[in-house]
Formats: sequence, structure tokens, C-alpha cells
Amino acid sequence: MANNALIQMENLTKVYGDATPALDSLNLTVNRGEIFGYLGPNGAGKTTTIRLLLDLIRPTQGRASIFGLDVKADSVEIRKRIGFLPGELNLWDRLTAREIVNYLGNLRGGVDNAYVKQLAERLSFDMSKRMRTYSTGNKRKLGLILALMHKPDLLILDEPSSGLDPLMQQTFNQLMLEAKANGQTVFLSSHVLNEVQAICDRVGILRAGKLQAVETVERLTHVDFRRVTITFRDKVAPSLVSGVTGVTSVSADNANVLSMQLQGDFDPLLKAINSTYVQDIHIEEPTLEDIFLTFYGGQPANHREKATGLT
Amino acid sequence: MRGVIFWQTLRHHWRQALYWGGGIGLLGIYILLALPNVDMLEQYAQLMETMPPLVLQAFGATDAAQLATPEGFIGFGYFSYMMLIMGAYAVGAGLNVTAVEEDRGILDVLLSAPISRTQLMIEKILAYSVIILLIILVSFGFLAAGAVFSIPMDMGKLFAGSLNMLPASLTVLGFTVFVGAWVRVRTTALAISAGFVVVGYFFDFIGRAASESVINVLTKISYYSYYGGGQFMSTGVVWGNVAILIAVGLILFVAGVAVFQRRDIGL
Repeated sequence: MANNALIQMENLTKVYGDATPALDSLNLTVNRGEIFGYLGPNGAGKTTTIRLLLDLIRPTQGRASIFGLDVKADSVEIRKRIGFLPGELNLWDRLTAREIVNYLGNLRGGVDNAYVKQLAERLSFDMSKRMRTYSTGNKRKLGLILALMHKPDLLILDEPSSGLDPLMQQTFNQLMLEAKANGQTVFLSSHVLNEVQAICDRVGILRAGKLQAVETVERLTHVDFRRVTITFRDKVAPSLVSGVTGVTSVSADNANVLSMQLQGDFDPLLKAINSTYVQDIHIEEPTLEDIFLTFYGGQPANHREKATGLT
Repeated sequence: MRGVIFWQTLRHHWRQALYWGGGIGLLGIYILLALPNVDMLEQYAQLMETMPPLVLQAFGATDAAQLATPEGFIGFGYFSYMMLIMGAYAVGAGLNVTAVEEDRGILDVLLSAPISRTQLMIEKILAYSVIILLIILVSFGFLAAGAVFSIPMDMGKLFAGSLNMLPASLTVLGFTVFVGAWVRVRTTALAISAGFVVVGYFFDFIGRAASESVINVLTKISYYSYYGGGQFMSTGVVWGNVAILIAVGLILFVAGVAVFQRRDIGL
């Protein structure tokens, strides 16, 4: 094992009742001190991976280790140093958040109450209410407090920002960056690519239980294409640009608006529209979503959400 | 950290001991109030003597004379049926060991803490065993208070009769823990465990009624037969039966822990 590896999965496979593997021969290493984004649409196998790491389920094949310890044999030892946020937080409805924090804090030991209070303040979270009264967003906040309260070496977070409003999303990002600065490692799953883009060092892309790629966010975003939307004064046909060098995925959003993907230089495109009256050109750098889709076969932009369930 | 789940379970559920124990005890007081005096008990026993023997046997009495004493009457009218209520509590408690929290997804968070599955189960089983004992003690308290104000009764027998519900309750608890660990789905576990309690009672009832036939063998596989029902007040503690119930309960606890230790959680 490389010295810097904190999580290591080797040939990790999980098959449930049917023959289709939920996770298929996963080989992945997460390094100490990084924020690793684990991306994929619903059903890709992200939660299965996390449950295997926590020893909630057992692999059909392969093995995983955290801190150099086997996730099954040394599970209790590993969990002393882990903070976990599940995708859906279910706890005791009749207990207040404070009672839950005290209970789970006592179970772990060594929780600093002042730090819990500080986390609650930063997340604008009222700990005095019963669990059943909290909204989805507030349950998420409680989950984050439970994951962070003991300052674990490794945070495993399943869809951490779902249900958080934009302001809290920013607070969450800050908390993750602070955790990284403190030497903690973060393994977070998501299908919201913007959050991953904002805080992650590396990203693993999972589809149908198979790892498609692992790259740094910087490298993934450094691809040579852009989305271009041109608004003309008059009605135009897509054929105006469809044959132009570097232009693909042309679609007519309106009678006078064309969208396309452009690879390479702008000059051939500008020459092709030279004879028309252009009102506006809008250029978008590729988002992680676009890159994500290139791993999935590059469906046209207007089909993205339907095809992947991305939000 | 050791003991946290045990104490949390006790803290969260101790009121149940009051409610269940009080409820069972109040039923006992109601039966005591329906027991006017010894003379009437003798008349009642004479009436029962006119019944076919299998009717007496079916209700757990071998001799109508048993019913002529306050202790015998309480054994027949109270301890015969209260075990079913204790069984109902033990089923609910057994489901709370793993099945309920697994069904609701709570175990995912609980087991992300540094505790083993075995520790989780053992601490909960111990806590619920203590709560069952508390229910029995509270119910005895009510019953004893009722006896003081109604009819002279051997308090030692009454206490022993109450405590006699503990081994059978632990067997039901053990069975439910095992089923909950095995089948995962709470409603299925509930159905199987409730069936165990009720069918066990009827196996004993039918087996006793047909004591001369092969159906009597049903009593051998019924936890209720080893409990002894209303007969306890005349036979006293049958230590062999107590040992069997506790041993079966322990085996089921261990089997439940072993099954839970090996399988996936929350699917």
C-alpha cells in the first residue's frame, strides 16, 4: 500500500440478490488529507461503496482497508476515527437533537461540547427540538454535526449537501475546506457536480457499479470544448453551422437561437456566421456536468437531465 | 463506550415498566376484587368439579380443589393469562433490539459509532431483560397491595408466581431477537414472534386437554407448558422447567447475535 493511501479498495465487488453487481471490481485509492468526490447518478453504487467501507454490508469479492486496517476485521477500530453522514438520516423521532448528540457522543467518547455548540451556531441549527419536527435541511445539519463532532480523521459523507440551502452549502464547503486544512480526509458522494467542483481535489466517476475514471478536478475541467449559444436577429437553420469544423451537437433553441458544442478555435465558426446579423454570443466553459457526460457517451445538452438525473 | 446503549435503553424505556407493570397489576387487582371470600371459592371449586376433567386440565388445573384457595384462584385467573401480556411486551422489546432500528435506518448511524454488533445486541438484551423484571416487580407491587385490602394471601407464593413469568418472558424475548436478526423485516418478525406466543399457549391448552393422546406431545414444544401457567401456585417452582426456559432463551440470544453478526444490515 502506498504510504499516503488512507482508503484502499481492491477488486471490491458487491452482488445483491440478483445477478447484476451493484459494485463491480472496484479498485480505488483515496489519499490522506484530500477531499475526494465520488460521483455517479442514482443507483451507480456510491452508497453501496460507503456501506461496504463502514462494514454495514459485506463484499461478495475483494477487500477494502482504511488507515491500513481491514474494514471487516478491524471495523470497530476504524469507526473510532470516522465520521459518517448517511444519505438519509433516520434517528429517534422522540428524542431532541441535543439528546441524540449526547447519546451518540457518549457512545464515541471524547466529544467536545463547546465544538458541538460552535458547529450548531455555524449551521444555524437549534438543538432543542425533537427529531420528528425537523425539516430535511435541518436533519442534514444534525447529520453534519454528528459526523464532525468528534473531529474524525476521515469523513465519509453520502450526498452531504442535499437539502441544504445555498447559504448552508457555502458553510458546508467552508467546513470541508477547514477539515482538509486540519489534516482530515473527506470522502463524499454526490450527484451535484458543482459542489464537487468547488471543494474536491480528486473525483472518481462511477456508473452502473463500475469506476469510469479518477482524475483531479483541475484536469477534468481542462478539456477543449465549450458550449456556445448564438442569438441571431433573423430566423436561421441549424445547417448554417452544422458542417463547421469543431462544431457538434447543434440544436435550435428558438427560430433565431442556435446552441452547439465547439471544440478548437473560434475562427471557422465566426466565418460561417459572418453573413448573418448576430445579436449575442454566449460562451460557457465546460462544467463538471459536461465532463461527467462525456464519460457517459456525450448525450446532447438538452437531454442531460433526463438521461442522468443530474440536478 | 461500554454500557452507554444499556443505560440509554433503560432511560428511554423505564416508563414502560410502570405502564405495563401497572396495567398488569391493575388487572390482578380487578381479579382480586372479583374474589369475594373463601366460602364462595369453595362453592366455585365444587362447581368446577362437576365439569369433565379435560376442561380443568385445559385451563391448567389438575384438581378443582386448587381453585378453592385464593392462591389457586389467582394462579388460574391471573397468572394463566398474564403470561400472554408479558409475552406481548417481550415481543415488542425483542423487535426493538435490532429489527425496529434496522427497519427505520437508525442502525446505519448507530453502527457507524465504534461499537460492535455483538455489543449493541448484548447491551440491549440486558436492558430489556431488566425492564421485563421491573414490569414483573411493579405488577407484583400492585397485586400485593390489592391482596392486602381484599383477601388474606400467601405473599411469598404471590411473589414467586410473579417472578415465575421472568424465564418464559426471556424465552419469548430470545425468540423475537433471533427472528428479528434472521428475517430483517420488522412486520414479518412481529408476525412470527406473535405467532410463537399465541401458538405456544394453544399448544399447551390443546395438549393438556388431550393428555391421554399423542396431541399431548404439543406441550413439550410449548414454552407455556414450561411456564406452568396457573398450576404454579400449587406445584411451586419447577427448577427443571426454569432451567429449560432460560437455556432456550440463552441459545436463541446467542443464535440471534451470531446471525446478525454475519449478515448485511439494512437491505
